[in-house]
Amino acid sequence: MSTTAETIDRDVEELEKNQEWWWAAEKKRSKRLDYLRKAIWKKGAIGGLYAPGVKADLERAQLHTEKARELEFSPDPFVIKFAKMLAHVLDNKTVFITDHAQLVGYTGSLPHTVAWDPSCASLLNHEVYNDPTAIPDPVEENQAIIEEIGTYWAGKSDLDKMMPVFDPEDLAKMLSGSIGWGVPMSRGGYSNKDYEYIMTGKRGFQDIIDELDKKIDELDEEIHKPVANKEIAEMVDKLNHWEAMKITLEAGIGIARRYARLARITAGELETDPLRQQELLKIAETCERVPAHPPRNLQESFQFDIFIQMLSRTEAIEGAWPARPDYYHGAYYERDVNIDKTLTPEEALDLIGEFMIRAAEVCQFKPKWSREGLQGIDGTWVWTLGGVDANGDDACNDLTIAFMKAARLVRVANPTFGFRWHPAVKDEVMREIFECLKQGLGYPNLRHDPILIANSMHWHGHPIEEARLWVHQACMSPCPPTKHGFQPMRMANATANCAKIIEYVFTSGYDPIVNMQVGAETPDAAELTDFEQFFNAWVEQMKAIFSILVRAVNRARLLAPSLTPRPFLSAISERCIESGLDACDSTLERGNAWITAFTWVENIDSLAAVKKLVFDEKKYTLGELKEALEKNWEGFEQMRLDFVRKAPKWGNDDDEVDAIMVRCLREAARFSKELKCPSGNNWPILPENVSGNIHYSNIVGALPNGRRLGDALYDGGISPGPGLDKNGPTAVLKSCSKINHISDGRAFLLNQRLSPSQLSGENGFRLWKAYVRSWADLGIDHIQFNMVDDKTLRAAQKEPEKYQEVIVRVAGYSAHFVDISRKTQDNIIQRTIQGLG
Amino acid sequence: MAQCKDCERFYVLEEDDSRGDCIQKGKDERQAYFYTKPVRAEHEADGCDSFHPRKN
Ligand code: SF4
Repeated sequence: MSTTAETIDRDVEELEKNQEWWWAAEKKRSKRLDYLRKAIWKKGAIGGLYAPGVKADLERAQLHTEKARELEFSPDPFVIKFAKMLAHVLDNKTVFITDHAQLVGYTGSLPHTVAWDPSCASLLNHEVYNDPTAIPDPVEENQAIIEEIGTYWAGKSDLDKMMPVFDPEDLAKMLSGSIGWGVPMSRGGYSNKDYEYIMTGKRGFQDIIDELDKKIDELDEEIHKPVANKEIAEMVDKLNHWEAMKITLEAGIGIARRYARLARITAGELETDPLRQQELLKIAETCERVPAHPPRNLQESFQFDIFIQMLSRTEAIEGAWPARPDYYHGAYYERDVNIDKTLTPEEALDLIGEFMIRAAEVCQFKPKWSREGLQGIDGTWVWTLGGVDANGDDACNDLTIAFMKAARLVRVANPTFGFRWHPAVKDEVMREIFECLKQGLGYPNLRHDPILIANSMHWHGHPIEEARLWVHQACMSPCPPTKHGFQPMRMANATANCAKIIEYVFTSGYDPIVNMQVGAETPDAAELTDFEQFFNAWVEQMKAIFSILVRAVNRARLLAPSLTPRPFLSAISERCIESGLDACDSTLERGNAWITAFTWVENIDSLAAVKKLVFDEKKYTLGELKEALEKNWEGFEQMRLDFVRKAPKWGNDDDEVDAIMVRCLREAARFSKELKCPSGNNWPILPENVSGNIHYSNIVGALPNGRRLGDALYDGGISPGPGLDKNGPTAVLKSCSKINHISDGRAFLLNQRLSPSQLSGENGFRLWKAYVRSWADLGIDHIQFNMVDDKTLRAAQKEPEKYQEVIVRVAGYSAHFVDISRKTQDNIIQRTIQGLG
Repeated sequence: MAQCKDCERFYVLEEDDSRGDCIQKGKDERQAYFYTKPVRAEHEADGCDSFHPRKN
């Protein structure tokens, strides 16, 4: 070993001993990965604002608008016009290849830009205009351009077109920001994809175009036969959809060829380093091959995937990244690394690490409320690893392990991994998971595969072979990436701020923060005489809130194919190629809807406190409690402390409060079956939070669990309130196991903090594995871990510049600790560190 | 008057000599990269700060 290598190794050892994993990773990764990792512009917002130097991308907005103006009076149907607008953007946008990169493709025009799609919503365009920190220089000149673009799209954007066709009362309640999060748009949310069609190596875009040409010719002939009926009239729409799909596929091939040309010219005329010239030629060859044709090796497979994601994110603002990279790319890794040996494992790690980096830098301009709810990241890129195949056999492969190794080298906070645990997962894979957690990544989280497969079948009737293929559609919800199973768009506004349920019981549905009647007009809380009446009021409020949000999404989904179509997403979906209908057409989909239940556990602790202190012990009356809450507990401090300390809390294996959790969930589950999506399927709830607990802290009033307006809400899902789980980790698991994780809801987020020093060495792995075994035996569907100690987190608060790379699990996603608000940081530190063993 | 086709950074399209790529080396505080944007061969180059006359 050379002296330099020895020095580096010694340093790494030292750094790892001190748990300074981020510096150790920097030393361990290749020069290429190090360059590319440091090349990433942080796109996740900090305190709701984009980082200095990150700018809104005006180029895309200008190109899109230019084409829209040109086509304004064209006789083309809207879906074709829209496809042409996308094609114009792809044909003309600036494309770049970063030095040392082997993979290409970005949503914006240059690395520091955030793609802005002006056709989605006027309210988004206003935000761009009013965000001088994100407007590129010269600000005044560019502000004028933004104004002009915004003026053009006023009344024409997706949301502007949708607004007038919603129920105005529901719309006003939804847009008040008190009960829901997001807007109902088919081009703004979480799109799963038909990966079984497009990612299995059977076809490229050219194959689909050939199939479309055949179908178009056949249908054209059919339409012009000497007969007329309703079916023939409908065929014209199919023709239009197929034409539009074809336009987007051709544009997809076109932009790949533009990258290829850039790489070839650079290699031949501009690059002087012979090694880099070879790499550029490989990029050129790759982009000439995919996405036109199916991939032949790992690099092509990753590049194919990146193009699909880039194109879909040019078509829509996607806030999530459903993916199963080890499953769909695993065979290429196996061939290149293990069979043909055309790649060494180290070269493969470079590609895998870069594949994660390409995803980490993706960003699309989003409104401030969305950025606040997702502090530090652009969206929840939760990639699915592990699990089983369609036959139920272990699907882990060498790429599963390689992804976890690469994650520890590049240490990005987004994407993260959700690992599908099942009893046949091998020890070597469990070790890799543990190593990622021990090194403070906060991911992978663990998902209970047998439970979630059964859950998918229970709630949405997915056949077992499809349910077994599930991917995370957003942070938590499973969805099969199959012909009829994939959900093309889960609109973010079916996200309920559930703490309002209990708050509205005391206000009879009137929201004092936004000053309007939002919830149900339940009887005056002070007049309720027993817990059953009180609980019934809670049920009424729950139903009212869920219904408002679901009605809006249903309406938007019904209108999406005509008002806001997705020709590219349709073009990579078997059901649309077959039928000539849009991907959002609900007649083609089995249905996989869910209501994200933010701020759920406050209801449980509040109901338990009311039951004990008001109805069982009669220490206070409901009238007194109502007054205390109205006054935000001011003048009622002793009473507040009673509600905090003398009432049982969820997460301590206390049967009384745990029974309330189960009762609430079963009421919601019962109602979930009355709520139907346009495909006729159910709307189960899914308790989790992202950073909603901080976003809503000034929107939710005082609550009976002792919380005051402005206090952070619990960090979500079914996690106990921070510091309120006093009986240890097994008690937390036991409480959670009283929930039926198949039939009580779609999924349940559980945060746990573990001590990194306790979990060091072989004994640490043994302890953790035993804990995971208990978790699995208890049938809990999810668990995520933070293993960064308080000392490091407090030091990072004091000297953030020294701890830029510390990652924490927030809730459903990870973020760099320094990028989240002080309130969220404190909230994470307050979580109980559980000792195992 | 100079046009893009007179510029060293212009790379004509084989299939259509009225169009081409403007390829340049870019750099920001985090990374260096090559980038391209389609331009017309006869696009006016006088107002372009990056114009670099072709040698031959
Ligand atoms: S640098 Fe300017 S003049 Fe030269 S090709 Fe590009 S746009 Fe044209």
